[in-house]
Amino acid sequence: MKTFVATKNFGKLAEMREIFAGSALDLDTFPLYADVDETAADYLGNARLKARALAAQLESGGIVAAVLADDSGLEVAALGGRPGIYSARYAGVETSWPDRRERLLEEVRASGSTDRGARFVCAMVLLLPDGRGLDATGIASGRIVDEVRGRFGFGYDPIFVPDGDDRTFAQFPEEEKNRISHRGRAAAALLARLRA
Amino acid sequence: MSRIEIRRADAVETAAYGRRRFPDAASRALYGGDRVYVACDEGTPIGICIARDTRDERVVTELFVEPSFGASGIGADLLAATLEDADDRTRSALLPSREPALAVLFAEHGIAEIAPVRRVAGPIPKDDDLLALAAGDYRFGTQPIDPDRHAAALAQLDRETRGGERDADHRLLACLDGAGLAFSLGEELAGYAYLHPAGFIGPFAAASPAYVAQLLAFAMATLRREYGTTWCSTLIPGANVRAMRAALRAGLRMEESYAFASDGRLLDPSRYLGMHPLLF
Repeated sequence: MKTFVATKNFGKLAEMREIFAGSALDLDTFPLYADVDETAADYLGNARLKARALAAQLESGGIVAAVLADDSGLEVAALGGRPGIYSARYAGVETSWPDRRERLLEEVRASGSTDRGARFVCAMVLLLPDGRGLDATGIASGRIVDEVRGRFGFGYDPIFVPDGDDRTFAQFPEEEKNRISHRGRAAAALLARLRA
Repeated sequence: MSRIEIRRADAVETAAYGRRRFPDAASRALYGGDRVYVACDEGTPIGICIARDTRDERVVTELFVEPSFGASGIGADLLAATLEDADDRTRSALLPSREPALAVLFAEHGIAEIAPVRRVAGPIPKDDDLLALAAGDYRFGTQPIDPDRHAAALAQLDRETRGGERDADHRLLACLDGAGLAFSLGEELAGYAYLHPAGFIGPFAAASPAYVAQLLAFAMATLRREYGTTWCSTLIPGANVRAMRAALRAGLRMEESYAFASDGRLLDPSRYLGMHPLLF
């Protein structure tokens, strides 16, 4: 089933394709998709905003296809659950990811808390051409570490270690990460609902 | 005018504008881009400017201001915002000749008219007539465009004809209804053409001007055969005399006039056809 992902990020498309490989969804980006303001109060709301925006664009152009959108973030215990839905904009949208990670670690250190617990959360929405909408949420719990480790991954991956492991997400091979990541878990739950 | 706000637009606003601007879904499918700015009067959108980026080119596909707000500088502000950060990309647009003020505005930004373009349209001829048009010295092979396998050859043709690679346009066209045809002669790519069931032919590029008439006839025949389309249209640069001659022989009529404006070059318009005012 032709499915457009609400993103302009080819890195995310590649990761989604890896996660959904072997499923009924044939993923692609729609080149004219324009980002929407993520004004919802939670991940699921933002994912729905993105999905509906792309669906409206496709519908306006008479293109019949499914739409997949997600929103995710990192919740850090020492920061009271921040940056959460603001993760991608933490420290400003123009800030580079290395600077953003460093800023987060500085704030954690400055908090005085010894709690390094954190979790990634991902909400995923699939709008089907028949009008049905499915959603699912995936969580990957773990902790943040004080130093950046690993070459793979993007975002906060190099400072996040999932429960039961000593490697950061950025040190995981892609396939292994996708099995336990927040996005991978959300996708698995979504596909289970699609099959149900 | 201080109440006018210029800001980036998102997909929802862009789609809403597309529905107002174009009654047909095929046009609306092309409506949108990498940089979309709207002008708002106390929150109400009254103007929009859209640009689409390829690797080498920023194409302004739409600049529209509600007529009641015309001649107030809003179009200039929208255009300036949309052209910002074009880096070293060539900047270009297809400008309708019936709106000469647009040509002046774009020229003020260094985007000058460099080639006339005519839209031709009409009923697709009957098979016998098309066969006569398609008769020629060449026996082309055809296959669907494979954006990965044909990438290098498509880029080469685009550099030769349009003056730059059009990776983003090929990605967009692959998402739309219709077909992308790659024409071959032996092992060489002789040309490509995109066909939309609504009757649009293009973008279309040929490796030689000598192939143009045959390939255009083949494109029309494929539209009729594959989609049952009875009507077609395409955009022909003035220098593409072979395409214009073939189109007129097929009974198509010249309709709207445009000017291709650019701060670069339309490298070889004698081998090129555009699809639609939103995707030349």
